[in-house]
Amino acid sequence: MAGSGTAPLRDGREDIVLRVEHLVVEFPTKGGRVQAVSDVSFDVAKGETLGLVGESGCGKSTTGRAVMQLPRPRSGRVALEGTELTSLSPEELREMRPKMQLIFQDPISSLNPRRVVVDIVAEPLAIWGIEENRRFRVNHLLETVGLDTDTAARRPHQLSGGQCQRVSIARALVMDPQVLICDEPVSALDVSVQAQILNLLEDMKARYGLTMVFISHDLSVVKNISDRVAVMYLGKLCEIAPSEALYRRPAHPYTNALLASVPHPDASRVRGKSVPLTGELPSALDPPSGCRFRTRCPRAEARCADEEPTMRELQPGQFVACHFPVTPGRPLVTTPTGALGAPA
Amino acid sequence: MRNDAAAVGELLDPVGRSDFDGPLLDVRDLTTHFQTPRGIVRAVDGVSFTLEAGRTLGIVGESGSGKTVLSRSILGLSPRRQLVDPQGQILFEGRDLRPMDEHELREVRGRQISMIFQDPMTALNPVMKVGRQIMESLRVHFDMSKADARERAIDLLGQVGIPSPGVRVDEYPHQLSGGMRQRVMIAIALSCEPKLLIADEPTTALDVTVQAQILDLLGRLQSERNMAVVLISHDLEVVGGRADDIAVMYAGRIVEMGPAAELFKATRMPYTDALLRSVPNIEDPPHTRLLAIGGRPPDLVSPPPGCRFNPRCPRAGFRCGVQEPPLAPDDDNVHHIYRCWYPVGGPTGPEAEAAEARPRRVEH
Ligand SMILES: Nc1ncnc2c1ncn2[C@@H]1O[C@H](COP(=O)(O)OP(=O)(O)OP(=O)(O)O)[C@@H](O)[C@H]1O
Ligand SMILES: Nc1ncnc2c1ncn2[C@@H]1O[C@H](COP(=O)(O)OP(=O)(O)O)[C@@H](O)[C@H]1O
Ligand code: SF4
Ligand code: SF4
Ligand SMILES: [Mg+2]
Ligand SMILES: [Mg+2]
Repeated sequence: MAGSGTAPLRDGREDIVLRVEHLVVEFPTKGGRVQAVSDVSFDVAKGETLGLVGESGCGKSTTGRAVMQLPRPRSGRVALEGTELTSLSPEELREMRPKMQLIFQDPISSLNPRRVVVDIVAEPLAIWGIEENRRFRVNHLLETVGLDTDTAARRPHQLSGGQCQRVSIARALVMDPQVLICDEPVSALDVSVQAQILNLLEDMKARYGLTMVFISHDLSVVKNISDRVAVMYLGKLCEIAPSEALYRRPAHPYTNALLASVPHPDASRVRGKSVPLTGELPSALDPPSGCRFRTRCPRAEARCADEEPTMRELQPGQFVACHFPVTPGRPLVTTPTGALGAPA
Repeated sequence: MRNDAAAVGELLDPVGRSDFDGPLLDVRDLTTHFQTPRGIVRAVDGVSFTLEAGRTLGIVGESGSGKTVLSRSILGLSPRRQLVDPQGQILFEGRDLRPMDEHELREVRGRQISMIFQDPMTALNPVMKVGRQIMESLRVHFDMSKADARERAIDLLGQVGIPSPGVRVDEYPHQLSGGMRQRVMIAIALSCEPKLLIADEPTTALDVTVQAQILDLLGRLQSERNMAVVLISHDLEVVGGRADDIAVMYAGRIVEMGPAAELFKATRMPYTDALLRSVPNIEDPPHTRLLAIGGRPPDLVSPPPGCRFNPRCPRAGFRCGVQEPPLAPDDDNVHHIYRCWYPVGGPTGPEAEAAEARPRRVEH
């Protein structure tokens, strides 16, 4: 993954709502520059859900926020329905804000603790001075996301995690956005509640024709909700493909390793297929040269340290940034890996 | 209500394992209730199970079902001032831990039974080097020189897969990643060579890749040492492939328990079934509709009458709201026990009750 390149961009299509090109985000710190997102390109078509997966710290949230211009990326371009956001003035950007909404992982702390639910949901309308049908819109949305009038009168700390997430969704939808960016929206929830919220997001998407970016570290959840999935590692994209294809024949060694780590009640089945990842994520302060995955990659060769792989289309719609991608039927491992837990 | 805990214990002893001295851990009708301003919280309410040396029991359930309270109760770590009439027995190698005082328990904790917590950062001392933390534990339990303890600490760090253990031994917890910290916790837990390890959501805060590494590590160390493990998780899939037996908890009680494979293959209790169906299956195509369980777990101050799952159960009949089902063995497998009047695989509550109400005969 360590891969760059704009090959996955589908510029021939008319229905691209969000287009991200060469996105770079860096954070200056005491220890140096954290290279959080390094040259990431993808697009999302109208009504499509793009899943973004990867290990903690790989840059998923930073990507999501940079798309929203929170903060503005260091370089790269982000176009929303053809409007280039990175070159807008602060005032112009403010005008665009309602079109893109973000839903966070931690439902309780992302809501204003002092206000009651109806007011939290109505707040964006108040900020934008929209009076028309305000009550109706708010009540209608609360009902749609499954909150009754009793709950609407409560404050966030009086709600469960699942109810808070319903409030966040209602609030995000009240301005009629085009794009919804969900950053781990169900990670803090119990499985039973997680299913309720995932179903709700699917319903809302169908009902309001939403385009979604869905960030999660849970591969099963991402497969369930996404049309296409992008796999991220240490600030770069490794692979991007339609969900079915990505899970059926993962081509990037990192995608293979991620899938091999997914717990399964019948452990022997998954284990046989592939090798779970060993070692730890390298520091984003000083990422490896060439392919950023090479320090943990079972297929790495000398070329991987010298030359960064760029995205190329391996199968129709399946893009991979790897010099030696995995081909179906061939074993993943070409070299013996180190002992469990030791860096490869 | 039920007092046949011992019988349940016997049922769970797989045939052929005829240990004379009985199971390593034998929990009987354990009850942990807390006094709170809102009333009495019945966090653990009559739980029984047994665990043999070298085996793994997985405990699953939604948050608030009592998993942590149960595991802390075994170690005598519940807040004593809040406890209301603690009941039951915790037989560890035949000795009851429940009536022990803090002094006696300290001897058992660490030396015989160790625990790993969900959040390694809060369990580690942030201002003490990780090596020192392991050494302290070693020196408390074994009469070891400082130099020997340090050597042993480095050895343990290596065993849990920490690269360059000779360097890491002098680092502080904040210098390590979440996965590394959990490895340190495991090293501390193992330092005294416990016979039983209780791991309370040991990987919930970690990435899937690290989770797989940590669980593999635990499995390997367990078989090397013939250690028994209680593996707690809210995720059935996590424990599924790792545990010999699984207990599903709901509202302070075990609602289904049995050999792991059996539990997945022949799920009987509707709550277990719902848990399994509500998680997305990685084998299913995208946009497969999930079967969500409506509602929320009950308030443990006033659990509903009858079956505690009845307000959320899609199979509930009239009887479920009035009478609590006992934890009874399955017809096909005595090692598989569950609480349910209308288990999966048979008629639902309304179906069964309609059939009963109907006059005899009726076939159309
Ligand atoms: N404000 C900041 N200052 C310095 N570094 C930062 C900042 N925000 C993020 N980072 C770093 O940028 C990288 C990417 O972080 P990000 O939060 O995007 O990861 P993520 O993929 O969302 O992880 P998680 O799954 O844990 O949410 C990490 O190395 C992180 O430490
Ligand atoms: N010290 C305590 N005082 C009162 N209630 C408690 C205390 N500890 C836990 N509980 C309650 O006991 C129930 C079970 O909690 P817990 O065992 O932590 O659940 P789990 O680990 O399954 O998520 C919850 O309702 C919780 O709020
Ligand atoms: S084979 Fe080389 S290019 Fe491909 S992922 Fe491994 S290290 Fe990177
Ligand atoms: S006893 Fe009744 S309510 Fe309880 S799980 Fe069985 S069918 Fe459902
Ligand atoms: Mg994040
Ligand atoms: Mg817990």
